[in-house]
Amino acid sequence: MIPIPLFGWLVVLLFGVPLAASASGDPTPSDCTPAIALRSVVDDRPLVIPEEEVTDAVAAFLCTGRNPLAASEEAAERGRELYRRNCQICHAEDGDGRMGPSLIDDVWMYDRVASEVGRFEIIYGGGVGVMRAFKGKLPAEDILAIMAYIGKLRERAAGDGRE
Amino acid sequence: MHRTASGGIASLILLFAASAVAQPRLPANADEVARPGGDLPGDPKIALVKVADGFRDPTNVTNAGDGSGRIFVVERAGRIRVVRKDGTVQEEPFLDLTNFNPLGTDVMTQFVEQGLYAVAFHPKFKENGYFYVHYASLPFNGDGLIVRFQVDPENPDFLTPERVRETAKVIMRIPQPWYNHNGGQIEFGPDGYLYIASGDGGWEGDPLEAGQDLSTWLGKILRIDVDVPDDRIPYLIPPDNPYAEAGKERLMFLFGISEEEFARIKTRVRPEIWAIGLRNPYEFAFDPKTGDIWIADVGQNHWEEVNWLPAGYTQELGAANFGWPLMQASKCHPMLGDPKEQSCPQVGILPVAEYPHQQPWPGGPKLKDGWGCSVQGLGVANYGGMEGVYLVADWCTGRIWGAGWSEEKGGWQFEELLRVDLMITAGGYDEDGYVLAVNANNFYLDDRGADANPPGALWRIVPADEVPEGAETAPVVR
Ligand code: HEC
Repeated sequence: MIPIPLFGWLVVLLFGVPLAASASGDPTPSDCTPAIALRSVVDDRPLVIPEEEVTDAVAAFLCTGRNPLAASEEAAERGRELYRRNCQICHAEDGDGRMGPSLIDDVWMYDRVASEVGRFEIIYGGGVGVMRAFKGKLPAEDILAIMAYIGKLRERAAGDGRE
Repeated sequence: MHRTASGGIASLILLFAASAVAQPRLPANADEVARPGGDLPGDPKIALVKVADGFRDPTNVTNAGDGSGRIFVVERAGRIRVVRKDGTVQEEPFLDLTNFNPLGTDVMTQFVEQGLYAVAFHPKFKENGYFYVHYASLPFNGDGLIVRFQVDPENPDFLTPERVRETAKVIMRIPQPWYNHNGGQIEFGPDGYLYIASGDGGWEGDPLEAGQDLSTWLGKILRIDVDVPDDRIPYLIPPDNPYAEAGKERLMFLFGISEEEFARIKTRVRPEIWAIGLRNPYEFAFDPKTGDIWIADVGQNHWEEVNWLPAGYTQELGAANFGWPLMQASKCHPMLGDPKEQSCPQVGILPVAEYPHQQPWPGGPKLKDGWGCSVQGLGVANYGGMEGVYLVADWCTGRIWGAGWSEEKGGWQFEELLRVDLMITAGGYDEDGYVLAVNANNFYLDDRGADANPPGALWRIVPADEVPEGAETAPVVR
């Protein structure tokens, strides 16, 4: 049997061409070549989002590197519940970290994670040890919703003067 | 003449003092506790070479000491797998606790910390075929069972379900109040006694105050003698256990007795206790060269702790006390803020090394490097420039540190040797004394079941310049 190394999660899925029009014929932004090439923050391997997860928001994110849901209250609300279920045990309710690092300060384990692209990469593709890839467990757009909620947590922390 | 003689004695004493200072010793205060950033002698460089893979949630690994070269990998579900000398994995498990009970598995694995924890082979396994396991029992609602089994000399690689049932001798049942911090390593010491690591029973903050409570086995290292003259007796208490005699019934006398003698009477004590004040000593190991014991005690919110006692350690009164729950590593527990601004009495023996979580205290700074969240002891390396270096792996961050004494610096050192992208759960030795490690792929929120999680692997820790050609090494993090 072939062993599954820990970052078997990061195996490139070749069919995922992020900007190709999706099967359902959804419109995708056409004015953004080249798309951002996502990588694993751990070993730089390419990280590709399967086509069926490339929603409009995801496509826009891959064009601009900015989370298009960042300002959406609705997405942040959805992200709150996803965060509670998937992240809170390690990063704490307020995002200040416990088993995992704080998400509301500016100390980042990898320089790339200071950007939204890097943050998406570590959540979707995984970091080291217990920070496992959420690829395959949560669709890419859910990650953007969680990031919108993390943005709220960061705003809240900045408001408390805690940042 | 007179003068010369005393001068000679003085310099002898000085010499003695100097050599005494250079020997490994227990830290006298928190400043002598090693933290990340240390510098081990011999400039060790290590690599993890894959020995075998395809193991389901491996929780431990050891050898039988019988010259067979076999490595035994413990799987959480309740199986022990054999890796043969040539590196192939035997299809049939050596031991299977999931099918000897007609009602189904005998092992509780519902919570990710529960399952089969460890196996230890009797020092005379080659002659008597005895080995011992520690597991969370399903029929006993998660209580820890220590059970002896005996291999069939005709069939030394495999116990049939009948053989399991027929040879099982329950040595001990450790009642467990909660589903976490139960586990533990079991291992024979150089003295031939069985040592049992017993967590504080769980929840958080040690709500039972088990660590300091002499009337419970929880939060301790226990030591028992399994070589009984008659199998109707489960085990014996080694006569030099710290509380071997403390609880026995006796006549009471009040006067003409020293305070020291009174202090030896502890009416509620459990005589199996060998060391106290531990939170979750999931892994410990003996140095195969010196017999020193090393204990990796998993910490709570802020610090992980690495304990050491020299071989044959005894103290005037009572048992070695590692402080939990009054202390966590060299700090106060509970931690209320900056340790510089919080004081508490130093209880018992300090760890020789400790490392922080990302936030070393509530409200403290957030670290970028040198942190972790759960210490797993692997084993003591006496090769590759390392002498008596205890290797530990952080389960959360993949950092592998070595803890060891530096004669040159006259103190303990704790150095990060490698960072790998693996969740390492435990370690052990092969018959050549190389330290082994196993990694699993499960987490509290991400547990599909002990037989359904992505498999883990067995690794040998070798000097970096001794990696065999073509060998697969663990993925290293820059
Ligand atoms: C099992 C514990 C655990 C869970 C669950 C977890 N994380 Fe993490 N997280 C970690 C650890 C540990 C790291 C550090 C990883 C490293 O150093 O590579 C980390 C790193 C991160 C980082 C980078 C932080 C930095 O300072 O660089 C982000 C962002 C992050 N996690 C977000 C999330 C989100 C969002 C979720 C839920 C979808 C989540 N994590 C779930 C433990 C966890």
